[in-house]
Amino acid sequence: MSRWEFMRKLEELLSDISPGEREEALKYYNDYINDGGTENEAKVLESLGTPEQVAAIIKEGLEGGAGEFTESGFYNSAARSSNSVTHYQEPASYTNPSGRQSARSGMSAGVIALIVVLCVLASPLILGLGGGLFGVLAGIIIGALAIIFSIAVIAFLCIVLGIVAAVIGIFGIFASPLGGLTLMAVGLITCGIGLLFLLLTVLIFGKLLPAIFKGIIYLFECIFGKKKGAQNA
Amino acid sequence: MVFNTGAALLDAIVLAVVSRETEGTYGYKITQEVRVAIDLSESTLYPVLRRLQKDECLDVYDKECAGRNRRYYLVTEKGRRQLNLYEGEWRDYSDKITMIFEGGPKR
Repeated sequence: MSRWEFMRKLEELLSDISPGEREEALKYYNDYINDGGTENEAKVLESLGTPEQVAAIIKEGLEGGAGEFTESGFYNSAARSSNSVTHYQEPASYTNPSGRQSARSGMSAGVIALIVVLCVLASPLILGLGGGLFGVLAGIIIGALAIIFSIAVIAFLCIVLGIVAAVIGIFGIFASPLGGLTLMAVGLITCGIGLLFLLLTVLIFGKLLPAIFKGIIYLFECIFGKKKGAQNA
Repeated sequence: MVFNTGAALLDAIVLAVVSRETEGTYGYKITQEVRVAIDLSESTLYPVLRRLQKDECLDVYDKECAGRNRRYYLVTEKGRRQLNLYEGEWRDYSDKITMIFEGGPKR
């Protein structure tokens, strides 16, 4: 892109600002390219950026946006008002910046102190509620574990007893055919029930427990997420 | 640079650079001199100069140079006071930071 193309494009992009401002900006960048030296023209144009970028910078300046130069370039920040505090004022109001700053930090310290005091005052309530909730939660978890354990025990006992009964029944067939068969049938049915309970146990350990753990983890994430939010506020 | 340069510090640097020239200086030269201290893109100084001009911290005039008019910037009386304020604030700030870095005595 030649300098004429650059300037024409820039002028076109600045067509929506006031003629005075446009002239000022065009004059500046035209001077800039001249002062960069005709032999360096391509390099100067390249370092200026595209006309679009330059136009954006000019317009941002007109909107009163103060920027910040960071490691990775120019950033416009909305924190213009905090910077304007440091602008020159008559000596009488010179102490303004530091005074305002300490007032601000004092307020936030006060708020923190208030929160700490409230927490201390409410600690019996928080501890009581927390202890109660913890007890209830522990009870529910232990109860659930006990139920799961008993299901597993029932499964084990049913299977063992069923097999024992079936074996005794098979041998009993020779002594008394009807009694033996009945015993064998009852043993097999018991064994079947045991297998059902075993299936239930496997299901609980395979599906339900992971789901419960995930739920608990999610719950904790929610609680800690909320706490972080409260601290930020 | 790892530290960000706020608008006030940039204003201060620009005012300091311009105030060194009693006859005034021009955009390209100001940019190159500011770039010695902070890494900024070549095109970003215009809004700063324009704003300082509107705040009456800088004056502009055109001077003929090599067959064309070049725009020169001069620090006004108000700009000089503003620069003094910035320099005082900077000394205060940098002294405190240096003291913390070097583990000086606490007040």
